[in-house]
Amino acid sequence: MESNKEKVLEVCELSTIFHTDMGKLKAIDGVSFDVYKGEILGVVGESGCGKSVTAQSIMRLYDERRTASYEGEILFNGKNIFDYSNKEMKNIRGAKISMVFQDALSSLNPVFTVGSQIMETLMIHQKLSRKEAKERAIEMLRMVGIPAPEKRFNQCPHELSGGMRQRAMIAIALACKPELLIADEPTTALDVTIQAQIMDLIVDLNEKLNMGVVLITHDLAVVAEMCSRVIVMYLGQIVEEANVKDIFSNPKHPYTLGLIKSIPKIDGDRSERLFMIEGMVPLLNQIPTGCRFSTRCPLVTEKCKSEMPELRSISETQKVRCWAVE
Amino acid sequence: MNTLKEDEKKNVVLHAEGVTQYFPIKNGFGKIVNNVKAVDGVNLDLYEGETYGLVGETGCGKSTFGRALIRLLEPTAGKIEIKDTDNFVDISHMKESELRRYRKDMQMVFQDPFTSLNPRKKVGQILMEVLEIHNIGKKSDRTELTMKIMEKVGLRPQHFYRYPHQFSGGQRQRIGLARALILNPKLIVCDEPVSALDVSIQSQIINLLQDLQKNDKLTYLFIAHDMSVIKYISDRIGVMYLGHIVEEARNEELFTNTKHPYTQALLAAVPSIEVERKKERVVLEGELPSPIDPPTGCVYHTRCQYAKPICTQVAPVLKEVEKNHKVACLMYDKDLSQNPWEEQK
Repeated sequence: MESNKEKVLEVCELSTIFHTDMGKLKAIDGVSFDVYKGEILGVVGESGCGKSVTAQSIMRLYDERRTASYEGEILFNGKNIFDYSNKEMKNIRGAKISMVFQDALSSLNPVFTVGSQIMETLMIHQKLSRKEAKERAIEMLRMVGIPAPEKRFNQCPHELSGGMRQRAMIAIALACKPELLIADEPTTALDVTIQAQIMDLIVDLNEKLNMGVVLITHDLAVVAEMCSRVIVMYLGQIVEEANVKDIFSNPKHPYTLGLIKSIPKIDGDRSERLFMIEGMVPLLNQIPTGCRFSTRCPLVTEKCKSEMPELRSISETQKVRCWAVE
Repeated sequence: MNTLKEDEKKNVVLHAEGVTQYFPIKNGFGKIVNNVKAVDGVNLDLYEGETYGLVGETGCGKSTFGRALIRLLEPTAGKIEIKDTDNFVDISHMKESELRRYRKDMQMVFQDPFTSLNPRKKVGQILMEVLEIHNIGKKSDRTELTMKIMEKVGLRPQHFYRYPHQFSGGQRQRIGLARALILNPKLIVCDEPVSALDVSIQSQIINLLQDLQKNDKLTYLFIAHDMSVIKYISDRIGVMYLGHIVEEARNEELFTNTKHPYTQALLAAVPSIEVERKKERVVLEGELPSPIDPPTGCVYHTRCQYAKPICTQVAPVLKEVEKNHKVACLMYDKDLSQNPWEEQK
């Protein structure tokens, strides 16, 4: 199905290395995936597994002179973004690739009105005049479902509620009609009722604008509702990649299985104890040799402790990194 | 309504009636101009050994209510009685000095394990401090007792000399739990204890909470916004909206026989990992109205899909519509002389 679709983004063997007091730490290690036009790709994993680092690496948001260095390639429309200069990168950020963050209150500028922050993007990237930009900004606010956009245009972020702020941020991200939207936990700080509204909005706009969306979340249920494909990450590596249907009906990696089983089901049996993944995610300077999940895996063998498994295709759409999977 | 029957009172550990918590808004001259009506006349009974789940959106007053119940706040009005051996004691307006002996029985676990632990104290000190304040045991006994409680929540003895920042989120929540448990309380108010944690850690903490409850006959008031967690852990569930409990029922009952329109919308909004079952979602339009100026009549009428003109005038009260199932909605009110929904049925 996907083969006839156009690729927006190809990430090949991407590694992001941070230079810290503890030496060089590889926050993500050899991550490869594709994003197609018009699809929503979910990236799941627990805190510290590198999902946000992946997102910010795609935007090249880390300071490459001091804090971080990258390895591998990120092809955006066939061109490696690591070849771009800083100036060229600026023209891409916010215009061709844009990002929605988790915490809207700290991501929006508190001293400017919502309207002026949308206008800013439009005036910089599309060189619109103030008047045109204002019209477009109001149109954007209306598109993301903000009632009375003319009034909201002149309000500061603190005057909006959490859901409204998230909508405003989506409006800024989509103002220049990007080809790729990276949404980093866009609904995590919201209530379920508001979360449902924002999820519907993103799915809706994804169809309308035919853009690729990378949705980063720790919530498997959100993935199930929104995405078509999923990547599961653990400690800086992809451990499983599959269609959303397969990941829930036929998960292969013990970590994916553990994640799914540890969520309390809304129609589950209460007398059963919840499934637990023992222990916790190791620190980046204590990465186990062999398979990275070997310290917590119930199926661990001697081989897992010494040799690192590769991410292998087990069917046309599913890839797994585990020795136990045939 | 006013007094419980004698046999019922035996099992009740906490009885709250008409608890109201207003936060005054003052103008520049210190004159009270308005109130934030965070909790508005809530009744609640907690039974020994049960878990009462309290759900609702941000700002509905669930945390404020939890805090008021164990007197971390002084309620504006209403009565809170806790069981003290055989009789009930009203703690709602008790002085801090008198209250101290009852604090042992009611403890709290907070949401954020990062800000609720003193960063300058070692774990041992954090836990021992509690014993010092309540004057329990000699110094040597205290260390022993602390070690015991640490073992109980799954911390190792060497953790005694570590600082909170040396722990992960899940471990810190264990410390918070140990601090609450060390006094052997009857009631623990858990204010979103797992919402800051990852799923794999979340299940560890939930299992721990349930093990502890089984051993010690603890009563939990479990506040959360995550429906699936609430469903898993609670015996009874109360749904809160804008300072009122709008529906209260036993766990299974609430999910299979949902009455209140708000509960229905809340349940429909919960995302599910079953990909096949794409539900028709009743997307709840709009947001929670301001608690400074709540809607007249039924507080939910501004977002309710069944609202009729009568809802704007008459405020529904929480009434038992079926056995052990209370709803605050005019649609189910049998005493209403003219029920406008009757014709539709």
